[in-house]
Amino acid sequence: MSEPALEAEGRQAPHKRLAARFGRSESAVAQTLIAPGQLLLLFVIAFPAIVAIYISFTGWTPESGSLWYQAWKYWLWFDNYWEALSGGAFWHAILRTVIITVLAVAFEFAIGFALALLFLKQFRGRSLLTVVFLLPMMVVPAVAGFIFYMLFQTDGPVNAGLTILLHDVLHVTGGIHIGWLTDPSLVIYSVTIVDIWQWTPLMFLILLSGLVALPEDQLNAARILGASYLQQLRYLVLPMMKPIILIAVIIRAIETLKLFDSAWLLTQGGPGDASSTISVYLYKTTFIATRWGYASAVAILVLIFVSILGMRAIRPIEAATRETIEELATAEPADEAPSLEQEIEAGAVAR
Amino acid sequence: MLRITGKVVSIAVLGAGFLFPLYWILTMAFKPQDEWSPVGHVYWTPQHWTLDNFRQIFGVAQSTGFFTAAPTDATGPIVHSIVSATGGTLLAMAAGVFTAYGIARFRAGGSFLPFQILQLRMFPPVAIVIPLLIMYSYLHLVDTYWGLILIYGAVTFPFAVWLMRSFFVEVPREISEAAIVDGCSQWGAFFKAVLPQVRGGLAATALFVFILNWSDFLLALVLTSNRVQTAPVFLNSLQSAGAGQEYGPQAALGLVLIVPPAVFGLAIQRYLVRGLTFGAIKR
Amino acid sequence: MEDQEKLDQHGDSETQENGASLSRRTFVASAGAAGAALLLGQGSAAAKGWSRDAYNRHLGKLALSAGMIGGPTGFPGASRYQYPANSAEGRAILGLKRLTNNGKKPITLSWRIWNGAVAQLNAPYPTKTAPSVAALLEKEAGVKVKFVLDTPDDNEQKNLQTISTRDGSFNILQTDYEHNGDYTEAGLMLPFDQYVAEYKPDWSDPKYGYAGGATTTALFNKYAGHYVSVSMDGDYQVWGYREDLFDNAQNQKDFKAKYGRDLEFPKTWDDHAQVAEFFTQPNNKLYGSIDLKNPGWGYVNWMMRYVSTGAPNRQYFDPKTAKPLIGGAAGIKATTEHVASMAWTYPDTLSKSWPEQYAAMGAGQAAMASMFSNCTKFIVKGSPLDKGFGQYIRTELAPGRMIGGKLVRRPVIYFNANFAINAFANKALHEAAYLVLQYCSSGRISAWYTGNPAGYFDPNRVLQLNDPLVRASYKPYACDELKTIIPRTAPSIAGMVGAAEYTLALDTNLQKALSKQISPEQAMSSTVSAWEQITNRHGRAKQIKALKAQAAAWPTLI
Repeated sequence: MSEPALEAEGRQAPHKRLAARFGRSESAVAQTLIAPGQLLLLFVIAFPAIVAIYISFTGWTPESGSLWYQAWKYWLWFDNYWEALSGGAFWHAILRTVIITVLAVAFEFAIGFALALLFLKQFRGRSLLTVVFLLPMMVVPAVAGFIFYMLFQTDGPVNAGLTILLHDVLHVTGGIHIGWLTDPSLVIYSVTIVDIWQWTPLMFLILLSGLVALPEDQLNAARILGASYLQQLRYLVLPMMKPIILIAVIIRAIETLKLFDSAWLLTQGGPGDASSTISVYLYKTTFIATRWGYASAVAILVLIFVSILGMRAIRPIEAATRETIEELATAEPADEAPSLEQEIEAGAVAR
Repeated sequence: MLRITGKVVSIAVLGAGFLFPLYWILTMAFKPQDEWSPVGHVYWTPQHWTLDNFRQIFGVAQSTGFFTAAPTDATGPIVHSIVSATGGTLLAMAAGVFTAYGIARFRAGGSFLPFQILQLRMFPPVAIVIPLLIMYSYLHLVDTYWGLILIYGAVTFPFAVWLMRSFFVEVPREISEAAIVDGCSQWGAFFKAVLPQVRGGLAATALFVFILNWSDFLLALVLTSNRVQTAPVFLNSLQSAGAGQEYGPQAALGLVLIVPPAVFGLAIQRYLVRGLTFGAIKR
Repeated sequence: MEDQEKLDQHGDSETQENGASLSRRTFVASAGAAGAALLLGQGSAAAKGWSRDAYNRHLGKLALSAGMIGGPTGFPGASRYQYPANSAEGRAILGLKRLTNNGKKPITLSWRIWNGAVAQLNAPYPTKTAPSVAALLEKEAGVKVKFVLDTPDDNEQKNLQTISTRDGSFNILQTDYEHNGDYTEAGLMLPFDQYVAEYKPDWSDPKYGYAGGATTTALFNKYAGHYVSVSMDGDYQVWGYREDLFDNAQNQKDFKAKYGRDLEFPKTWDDHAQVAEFFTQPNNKLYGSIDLKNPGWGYVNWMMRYVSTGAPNRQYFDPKTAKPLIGGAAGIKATTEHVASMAWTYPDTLSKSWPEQYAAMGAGQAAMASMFSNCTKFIVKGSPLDKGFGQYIRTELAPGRMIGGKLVRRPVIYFNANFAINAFANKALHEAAYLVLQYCSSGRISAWYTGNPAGYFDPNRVLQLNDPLVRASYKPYACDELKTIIPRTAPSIAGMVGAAEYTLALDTNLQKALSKQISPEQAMSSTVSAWEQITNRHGRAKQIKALKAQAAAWPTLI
């Protein structure tokens, strides 16, 4: 071959070689990339799960005097599982957890949505106020639990404040001595209040970002056609926000189901078991009653329960993520997401 | 007009409600012992401002605990929190960034892997505490930095993956392909071409993960005892049936604990929504 | 520091009275030749004007009294705590000296201990120039003790961690007597009968040992007949009451008018109900009886009401069958009374513990309370706990019941700081660990540190209760009352494996009854079925055996 031809081929050849190799190297690289993560998970999730299943079939505790792998000496078959499923304690704990989750998420959504609506239009000091409303989210949950422990004391500021309200506003005598932390029928709500305080800001942020992204033209059209504010909300805003609302609610629900910190710090799950969420129940069974075999069975049941829930919950998130990816694929690349102000200005100009 | 007043009032009421607990811990940190929780009386503002509580938690003053030996010096636990949170963050980032790139670029692990990782977040950590303790005791990791770092890294790994994935997905394929054409290997493309594009995202993810690790309570409660006890666990120990309720030092320590997440959180405000929704919502 | 000066002076006069004084004259007469030479070599002390500090420094250099081989020096009255070779302390020190080759091969032991008590062992007492117990150990035997701190709330979890990780980094563990069964069966605590036989501690000695003698030793230190832990504490429950309220003429008149009898500290639980009701005036921020009710701490007050339903005791289990005895009328009555007593205490009582209780007593907000014996030590002027009412607190035996013409009063003891040898630690140091514990728990040494207000190890022996420093600290009237309280005190659920589980089941059901979630009958029947499950799990035969051995711990004195 002539030299120029050789050169030409040489220039093309690297392309071809890489193209040929692209397929194989890609998967090798891919596997290597996810390897460290998989190792981490194997170590911390897979192996513990096996150990937990093993122990859950026994009545072993560290105080039995034997090491864990000798737990077969205390073999119980399914006794622990039966005790959990047929006894009341386990189901009550699940019920409490579900109640707290439903209430907390519902209120977080309602208040967060109201706040988002209030913050939608620009006003003076909005950025500063946004920071104020974000602060509760930054508080370490353990510290939040401690703050409300102080606030909810029977002689504490909440009751004192309510008493002042009663006296000065309603002109009724008598003090308010609500046992936020000691009345067994109230403690669940006290725990819920802490969660609402801490995570409403998150809902607020998410819903605000969703509201801001709503297409202005449709809303304008509806207003011109005479729809009232409430009608706009009901027929336009909420349906359009559905994917975002769903994600926010599901994610908060997932996290609230695991609630431990505030329930523990407020009342240690008490009085009795009145505020024992499933995490608190597991903790008490493990470290106070020290019944590790039984606790492992409860843990496995919880994992099963959560996996089932998880699979149902994943779908909407999956769908929403796919949507956003598609949006990105078709949208023009932006250097930076436009700030709230810019978007509103753009909307105002368009109007 | 009515609408605007209504708006102002609602925001004011809600704002007051959300701010009041923060106001309370702020003022409590400066109250002397007499004013913490006197029976039948509430001090809405400190009558005698004092720095004693801060002096106590930084080990500069004698504790006001009923027994002078009861420690309120929190400098050790604070250091432990910093070390373990930082270590956990580095671990989560190291594993997470690679995994995220693998998923974003190559769909590694199939399309279900991301959601498997998400499912991990649903497990209450207390459910794996028993086997974790057993494993850790075998490996002598109980009450050590490495023990904490390992579990922190694992527990925040899903956040790192999902967040970084959402950033990687924004980087056009062409960038890495161009790098490969220029003669880089896949790894070179990753490190030299793609990674610099997501610098902002890396920082945001790292800070976000740090906040999560810093806020952990349950895992430290279970896995540490006195060598690497972290600050939130120490905070809880200042209020025990044995020592009484030391509101002042607790409030001071609580304030100190709030500072890093508050500062970092406000710095990455833009990415908070993305982070807390696993990248599903990218505002 | 006012108290210190008073103590010193008190000590000075007391020792001069006893004649075993460290005055210069007797010192020269009684000290050995070497000591005399030392003193004489320094020149006549009489010629110098001594300041208190200089005097103390001088005392610090003094040698021991005649016949004594060790003990603290350097403060007035120190000779009370010095010991001869033929004593529990002496034997311990000699044993340790042998192990450390007279200090040439020093030993370091690691000791996990509650942070609220450690000062009694490592802070100089009673003066700044006096040694501390730990310093003395190091000086006399070359044994250095490293204290690792934890809290009563954490302690169970820490011990559980130690068991599950087989952690041998501590030589001496903190525990409480209720856990003797559990931790021995778990392999955490090393039984040490052989050391007891060899070194002969003084726990059952009539002069130097626990008040209540062998009964108390069986209560605190034994499980199933073996020695497993060492008590250095006395968590006896005293009923504190406000003398000024009871002596107040107006109160006496009103009470007599309302109930037809004189106002005095109640002898029976029915009396107690009346007196508590009388003194409960929430508008005046006064509560009749604020004995603890919170989880983990309040169950002892139920036990007092329960155990006194039988003479000499009603036990929790039938020793022959290990079946619970609490499900009958007696248990229900005790629970009903326990629940009813919520009416006489402050709000939020279920989440408040003893520091708040002490503060309430010190602030004058309660007429009666069942408290630890250190209430008179801590609720004193100068402490944040006292708002001026601590001086009026007097102590009494718990109320009881008339059974067969006799008044049966049964205070109950729980917790109690016990220490044990960590079986997982270095075997070569087990003997040294035991000897340190024998030393710290013997009569003279424990009389020395118990008075120290910096910690909460409380008295458990008559020697301490008669000691001037202890009496000054705990108040003489309280010390004398303790002499009647200790021999009548019953155990909580202890001396058997699973004690913590039984107690937790009882406590949880009591909490539910106190917060009105279930009735007293339900609480008792729930507890009984939980107890039966626990017994079956651990093995009934084993429990019967343990209960038989535990019989030695129940008091018979009425």
